[in-house]
Amino acid sequence: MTQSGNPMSDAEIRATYLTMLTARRTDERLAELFRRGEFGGFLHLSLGQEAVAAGVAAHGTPDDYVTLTHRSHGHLLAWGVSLKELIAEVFWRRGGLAKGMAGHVHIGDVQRRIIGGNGVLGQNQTIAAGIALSLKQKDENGIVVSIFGDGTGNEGVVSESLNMSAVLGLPLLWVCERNDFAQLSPWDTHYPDISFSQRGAGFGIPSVTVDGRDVEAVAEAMKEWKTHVRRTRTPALVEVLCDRWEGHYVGDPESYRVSPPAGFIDPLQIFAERYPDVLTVGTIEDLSIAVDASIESAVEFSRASPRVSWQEYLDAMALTLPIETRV
Amino acid sequence: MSVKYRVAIRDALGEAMREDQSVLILGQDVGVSDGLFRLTEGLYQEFGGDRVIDTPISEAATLGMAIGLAIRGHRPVVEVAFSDHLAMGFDAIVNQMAKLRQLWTSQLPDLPIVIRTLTGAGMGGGPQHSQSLEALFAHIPGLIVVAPATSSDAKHLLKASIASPHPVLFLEHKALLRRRGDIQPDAPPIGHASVTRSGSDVTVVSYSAALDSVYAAAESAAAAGIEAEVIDLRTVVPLDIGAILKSVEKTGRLLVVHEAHAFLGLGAEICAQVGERLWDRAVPMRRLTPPRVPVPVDKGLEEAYLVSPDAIVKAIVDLAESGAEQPLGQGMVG
Repeated sequence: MTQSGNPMSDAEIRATYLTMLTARRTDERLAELFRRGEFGGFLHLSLGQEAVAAGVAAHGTPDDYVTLTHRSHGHLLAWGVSLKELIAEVFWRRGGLAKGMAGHVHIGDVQRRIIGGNGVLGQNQTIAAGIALSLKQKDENGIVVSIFGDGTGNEGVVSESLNMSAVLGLPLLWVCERNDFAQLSPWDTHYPDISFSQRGAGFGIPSVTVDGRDVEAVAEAMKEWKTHVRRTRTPALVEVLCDRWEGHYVGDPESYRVSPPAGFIDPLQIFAERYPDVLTVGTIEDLSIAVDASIESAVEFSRASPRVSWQEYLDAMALTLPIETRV
Repeated sequence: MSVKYRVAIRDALGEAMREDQSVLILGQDVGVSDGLFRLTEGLYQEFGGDRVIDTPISEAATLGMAIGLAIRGHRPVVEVAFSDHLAMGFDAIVNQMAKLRQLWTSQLPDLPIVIRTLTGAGMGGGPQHSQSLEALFAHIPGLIVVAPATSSDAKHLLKASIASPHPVLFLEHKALLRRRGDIQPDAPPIGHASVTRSGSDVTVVSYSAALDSVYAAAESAAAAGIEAEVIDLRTVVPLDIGAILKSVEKTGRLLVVHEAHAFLGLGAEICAQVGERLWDRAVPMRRLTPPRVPVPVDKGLEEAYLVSPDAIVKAIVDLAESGAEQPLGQGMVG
């Protein structure tokens, strides 16, 4: 991703494509393994939203925090988490990013400034506000990027958090990943005919809407608004339009789904078509082979990594829970 | 020198903030206006708006922000004016504060958050400003719940709560705000009950403002020749079951008095634990609580609602004399 505003170099083009391709192939492979019963729990795929993941991670600094959602595999990879750390955590293995204790929904690493998905949607927006308040008070360079879906956007706490960021003046970039589905229901069940950026503006927060199928459009918005937030130490909101190709979770019968007649726009395809001399058929094939090999290596690593034992779990809880409240 | 309960709380906050720069206060009206009940009086003037933060009326977001602040190494103290309104931030407390260290065990060893709130009835606040909800939160692993009854305990235990690495719900009884008391030199730890009156006939366990009626009843019972041993729990959870067992092993009889409802209240837990551990002793035990109805609006009805010293005397005498089974509460099945 270009940092300077100049046209992207060949290397940057390939790197951007690789980020999106890795997200795409990882979710496809995990869906396959999940359907075969290789691991349990729930699995929420981000197929179709790869440009959002790659774009939102752009133009940040290592001082920045991100708060994620349950649909965050692409974001995690774009934010620098390795395939081994990601897949092992999805498999509940000790080699995972959170030592097998967080699982697919909550994957995160507090020390790396990645706040994992919250089981209660909307709550990460309050946590984001607290982190941003701290960054402001300590006069640090970092900002908080808080990603939430349009479904989550209706939780009362999200409105509270938007207002809080505006009234306290927090260095917080709100990112509404709008894929027009809230769990099993489409947008118009949840919203009147408005954009989410209208909602942000209603709280006094500068807000824009961008096309999340175009990774460069997302990255450009990040460059403009991360800079704005970093410089002014006040919030902004970017609504990113995208498509959720699959159901809410793997196994969702999707009886509610009405696909667009022309099919979905593929963010990888439109990016490749923009740079056909760099992203040639041969290059894409080479990248695909390499990505698939990396994913398989991570899957093998995860299969070999141990699960948390019952005693290990109790011992871990003993460290964090006050004595006697465990009685 | 005797100090009002609310001043002891304010003093604890001031001392904690002077000793540790990471302590900060958030809540409605805590700053510029000195606090709804003057519990943070003077702190904004001393520490400024960066450390004493007035928030909008957004309990859920404020409690959630405390989590973000604690993750970053601050020690936030959130004031939620009335414990009844903790319900607005129930998720932040139960699903977040009590769970995040489980999900990110190796990454987040400490989550030092104190939630201070006014609890209890007796001030004519009505059903949504007078509840005793400690049982709801004590039920959840990972939360500490403290309920001091004196100025000294309020001061020492609030400082201990702020210093604790765990999330603490600190219950300040609104009927005790102007009660005076001397600050004792020794600071009791969290989770440590106090035997405040020695006796050999009946163990009476209580906490917070209900103790007022317990002490009055203990004196009346003494006049009838029955000596009650009174235990002030001070902390709801971790429960000092050791202190209770030690006393019941001596007296052989147990009465628990609290303002919270009997059904699934702390008394139920105490009786269950005593019954399990002293199963071969057949200990006569009772709980005495208000009836299973909301706190009334009319102050006269509220007085009838609360457990009276007379009811406690009767229970003490009944336990001491017969130990026979008595109905719960004051005429309503719990």
